[in-house]
Amino acid sequence: MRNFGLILLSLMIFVVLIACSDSENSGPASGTSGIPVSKSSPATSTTAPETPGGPRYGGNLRIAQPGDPVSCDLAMSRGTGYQSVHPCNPMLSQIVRSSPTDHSIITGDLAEDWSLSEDGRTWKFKVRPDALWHDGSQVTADDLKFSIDRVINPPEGLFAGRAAPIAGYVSTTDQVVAVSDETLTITTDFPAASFITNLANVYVSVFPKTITEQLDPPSMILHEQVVGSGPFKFNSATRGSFYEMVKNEDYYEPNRPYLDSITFLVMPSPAVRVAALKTGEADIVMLLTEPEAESLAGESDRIRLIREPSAGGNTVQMNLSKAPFNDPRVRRAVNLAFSRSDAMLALGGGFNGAIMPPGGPWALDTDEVLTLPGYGDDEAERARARELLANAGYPDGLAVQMHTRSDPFSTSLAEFAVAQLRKVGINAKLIPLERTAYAEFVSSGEHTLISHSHSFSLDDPDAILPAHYACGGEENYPGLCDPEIDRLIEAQARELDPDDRKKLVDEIQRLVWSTDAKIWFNWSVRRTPVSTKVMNFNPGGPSLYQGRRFESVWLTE
Amino acid sequence: MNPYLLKRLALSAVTLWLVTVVVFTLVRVLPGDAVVAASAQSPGEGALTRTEIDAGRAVLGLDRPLIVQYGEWFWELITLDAGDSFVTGSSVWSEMRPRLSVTLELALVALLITVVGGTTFGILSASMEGRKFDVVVRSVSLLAASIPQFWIALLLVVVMASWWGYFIPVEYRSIWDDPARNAQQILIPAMILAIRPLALLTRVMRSSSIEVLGNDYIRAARARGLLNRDVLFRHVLKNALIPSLTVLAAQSVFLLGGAVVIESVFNLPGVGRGLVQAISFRDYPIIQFITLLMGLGAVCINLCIDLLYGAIDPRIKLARSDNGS
Repeated sequence: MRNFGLILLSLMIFVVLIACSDSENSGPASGTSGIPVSKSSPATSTTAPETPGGPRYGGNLRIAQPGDPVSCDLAMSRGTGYQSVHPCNPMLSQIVRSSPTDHSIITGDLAEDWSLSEDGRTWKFKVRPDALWHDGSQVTADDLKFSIDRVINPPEGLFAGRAAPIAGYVSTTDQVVAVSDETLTITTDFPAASFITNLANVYVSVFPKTITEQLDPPSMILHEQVVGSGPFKFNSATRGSFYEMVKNEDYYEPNRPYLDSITFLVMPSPAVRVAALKTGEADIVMLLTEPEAESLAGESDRIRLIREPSAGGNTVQMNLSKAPFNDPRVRRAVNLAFSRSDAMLALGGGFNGAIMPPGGPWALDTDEVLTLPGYGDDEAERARARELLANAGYPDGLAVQMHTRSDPFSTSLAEFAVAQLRKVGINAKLIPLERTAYAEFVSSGEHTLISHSHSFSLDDPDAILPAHYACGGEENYPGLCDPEIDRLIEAQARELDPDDRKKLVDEIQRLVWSTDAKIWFNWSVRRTPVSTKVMNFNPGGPSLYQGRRFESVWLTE
Repeated sequence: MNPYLLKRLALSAVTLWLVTVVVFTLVRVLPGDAVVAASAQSPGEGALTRTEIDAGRAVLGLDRPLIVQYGEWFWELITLDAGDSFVTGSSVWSEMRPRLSVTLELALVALLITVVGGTTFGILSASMEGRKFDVVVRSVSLLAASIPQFWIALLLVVVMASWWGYFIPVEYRSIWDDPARNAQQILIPAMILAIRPLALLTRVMRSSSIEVLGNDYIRAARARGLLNRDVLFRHVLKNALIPSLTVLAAQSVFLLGGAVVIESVFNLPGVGRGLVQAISFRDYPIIQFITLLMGLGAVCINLCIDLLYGAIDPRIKLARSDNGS
């Protein structure tokens, strides 16, 4: 009964969140080929201000984060998380982008308009004439081609990171053509349903050809190196301390940005970031844990806490090639050991879902999710888990090792997982490893059981499924290699009918879930505390990465 | 040149060479390298394939034999070139120069507080042995030497923010750009950094001063009618300094190490934080440069202290000359 209450509560929170989002533009339109070409004009890409007084120009927005940006060349760097995206994205632009107020809408950026050929393969983009680089030179189709070319064929020593799915659609640079200064065409290998969505990923940023090529390596790694065309431009920075950008007066969006400047403050200690927020030294702090969020309870007059789905969550993953997890009965027992309602209680909330982010367009229907193994009655499932273990030859339980990253966030999640497994007789010894040591360990394939969190940059099947669940996928830590899953992943990428594609994705979710290789035990909530003087700060969707250009944010004082 | 000095310099050079070997080896014993570390920065997404890892290693030269890598680095050091950062591609020196000035400033201010505070409290406490002031100084110094600095630092930041709404300005400004702001940013961290060395120096200074105060020549000086202040600072201080210098040398090295934690808590972009970041990114050239620099600092400080012994007490100098010749 208690579990039911929690599930009901989480569903209600979810429904409220959905209701609060902008539903007006949520349905993608289809082009003649059947491929979604949803878009809104650049002029409508920003939301109306939140107060009747209207937006106010000026002010300095101050955002605290734990570390320095790794690289501002978002297209050419693996592992660059939000700490790179947030301080660099305000200086950059893309060809098309996710709407900052609703990530499911694709809106024009450097391309003021685009169209798709009848065969569904050739995209034609019209470059806006008023877009200038920060050095005053004109943005041309050559720059756009250069930026896509380097994703398809990265320069030596650089790797296309989260921009890489683009290379899955366009295999050679000959398929990207700057027809004139104002026109770019991109021909995909096949009519791809998600091409435009992946092109709108913040990681597919556009860089000036001439200036970038003069760098060694040809990559705008450092903040001070960035010459972009975004709403803010570099002003000053001290690595390890702060990164300051000032308003780009020549920004192509009319009347934007509102702010005079943005400063990203580097504060490694969580306690110090919270203190900075309380004193007004910082206006926004990215990512808080539940206890940290609770410490702000008495500050509601000055700080509002945004709780939203995070497009990510927490898993345990088993190496399918290693005993005892090469036995499907043991893997199922692990899945059944977890109480999703306990997870929500212990981890400060969350959502029920399969393998695509809940609440998003590709989520498995919630009713069906609740019928999946692991979502049933806790005690009955745990009894079944013990039975499965006994059948697999472990009547007295088993002892295993669980590896995770050694940061407090990861270890607290892993400790929860260890406690859940113990309830069915699986005694997991937790071994935290330093971040890089953990990455090396996992990539070497030596792991048996890991506790691992994911945060997706894009809620799209092509951005998630091949890397995580296809044979040889770089994030496929269990080593899942099922020809049927691979076939379906390939098929959904080529399926142009949205409903049929959704059915294929649903089928993949069911199949992957049935392998019990990667157990999603909690789709998490993100907590972002924001000063009440910050207006129009609307993440616009579950991704922590999209729509973070801050050109529509303004301050009341 | 003094043969003793020559011998010490030669020993210092050997020590530094050993430091290069140890540092070079240790950083490579750590699991993972710069290529893997780059993909590990964002939890959950962005892992590299084995092919990409191998290609990345080849570009950074990490696929070559270790002896070749060491030889290249050592040659670069001899030619005063510390190489380029694996992460940013910038030269190590250009990355570290601004950080070095922050840490040196922090350490020097902390050292100043340590020396002035430690000697003053130590001598005064000794001169008032058994009285209230002495009891308070002994108790506080024992407590200060026992509490971890990062705990005091974090507590101070939270207390200042919660009780007084004060937060130390974050955007670092150098002393030349904005002296007032720089003072706000450096003074409190330097005071926290100095707590432990100051406490230890106070205790050592106190005990050595008590020993000196019991000598006949102090009684004679007092009998001659010298003021207590003159006795303490002209006679006691100089003679009590020798054991304190040893402590000061050890604590000066500690100041450089302690900066790692203090810089992180107070958001100071110094060498300490640079080292933490470099280790996280397996940025070997930066790690090697900073640890070698700290080794150089430790060697220089110890050399200076040894030379100071002689300057303060000529008998020590004589003994060394005798041994050295």
